[in-house]
Amino acid sequence: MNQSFFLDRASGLQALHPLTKLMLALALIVTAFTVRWLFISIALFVCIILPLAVWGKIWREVLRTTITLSIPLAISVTLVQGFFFPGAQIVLWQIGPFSLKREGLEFAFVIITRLLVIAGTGLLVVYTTHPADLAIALVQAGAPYALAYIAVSAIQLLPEMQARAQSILNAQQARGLETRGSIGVRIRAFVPLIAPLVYGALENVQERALALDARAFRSTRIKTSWRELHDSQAQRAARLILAAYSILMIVYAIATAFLSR
Amino acid sequence: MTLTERIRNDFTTITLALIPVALVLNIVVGQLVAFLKLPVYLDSLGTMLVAILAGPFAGAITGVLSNLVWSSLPPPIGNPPVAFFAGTALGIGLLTGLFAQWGWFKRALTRAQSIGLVLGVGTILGMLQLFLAIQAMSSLDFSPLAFVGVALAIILTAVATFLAWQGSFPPLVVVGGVVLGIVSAIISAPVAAAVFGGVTGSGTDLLVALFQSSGLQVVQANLAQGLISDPFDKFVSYIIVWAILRGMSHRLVGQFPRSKNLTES
Repeated sequence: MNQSFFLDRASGLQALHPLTKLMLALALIVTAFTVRWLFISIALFVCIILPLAVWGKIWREVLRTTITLSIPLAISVTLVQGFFFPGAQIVLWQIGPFSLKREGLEFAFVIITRLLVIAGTGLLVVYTTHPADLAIALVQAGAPYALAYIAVSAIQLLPEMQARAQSILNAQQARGLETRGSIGVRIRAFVPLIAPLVYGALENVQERALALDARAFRSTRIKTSWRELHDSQAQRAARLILAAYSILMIVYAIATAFLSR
Repeated sequence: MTLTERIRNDFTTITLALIPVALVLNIVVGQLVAFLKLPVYLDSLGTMLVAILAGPFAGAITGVLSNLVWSSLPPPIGNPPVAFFAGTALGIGLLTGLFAQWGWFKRALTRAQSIGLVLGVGTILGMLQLFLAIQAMSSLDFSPLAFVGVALAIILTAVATFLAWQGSFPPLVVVGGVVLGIVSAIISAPVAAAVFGGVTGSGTDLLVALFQSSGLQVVQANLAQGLISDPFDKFVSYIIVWAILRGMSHRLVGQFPRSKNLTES
């Protein structure tokens, strides 16, 4: 699973049950969306997500990745909403026909800090949870086994398929395929690249189906897992509280949205 | 046959083997398209293939899991907020499966029927854009650029009508693509506005800026942008998926639970 995010570092965060981390992520994201305070998301990021990342010994990766993921969107949202936010009045800066407005910048700030929270919590989960553990946790919580199989095998399959796409690209370029230039040239390059990729992948499907049948995948007996998850009474209680909190916040947000109409 | 039986019949071993492959195809083809800098996304071809070969529910699950897996991969491929578009992916899988069930990927129509249908969906698309542009007129910032969406809807309809007239593939493939594009634009717009503030960091942001500056609200501007990019993307996707399925061996197609979606009864 060289494509997965998982970083194997011993810490309390790594040892938590995957569902506990998922519930925590849900509660954080719900808070970022429902609390009407300009600085709620940045507060969550600095006061909860970063300390958790320090605890999990992954703060460098979390910080670096959230920032690299957010920069292109941050630039775009600041430009689009700073200049073109509908109904904005307070002009901060005039450049030619365009004016930078305060309401737009505030909206952009909310969006960017929210994205930090979403990306940060998502990374907290995926950096500290082995994909197989997550799948096992979901199956134990009642999700169909097939879902876990699909997610885990897709993560394993991705590098294989990317390597194949790269070798198709190299092979076709070696035969003189142009992949740069006018739009017409690039559209013509599409078919010779995608056809071998798709048909190769589809051929593979039959073999996979045979392999699954040969290993009694469809058997309805309970499957045992090689990996073991650790859970505790305290974590179960924490999950219940977090879930209840998230539901209450969502109900509250919907109710206030209706009442304020 | 009850719904649960139907779903159980769709999830055969070969369907289960296809779904992860299709999921990865979504991602890898999406990357290839980005590499070639084509003006489309084409990031749900796999979802569409599953929906046609194994029914709407298998398609919907492929779509949702694609988004969830995609959002949990390391950058530059992955990006956690993408998970919020799982609803759109679900709609793509479900609708494509239904269209296939109704025979849209095999049925031939007369030239008059197909042109009529294409003009029909084109009109719906144009009306939606017109409705948005008219709403912009009540704003202080209104500028005639709000009508760009209407103009592009007319161009798209003209192209689709030409394809239907020319008749090299089933006209309902074109119709279905445009309908799917309208639906996915409607599902995506509120999410794009609330989660991403209406931007994606790509070229379509210019359209959002244009619509906002000509008097539309954030969600409406996103809808207007989506109603331009999505119908085009989805109908190109459908044509490609249809071509892929035509090129698949009958032996392979026959192994899937919904192979009747492609062959005459």
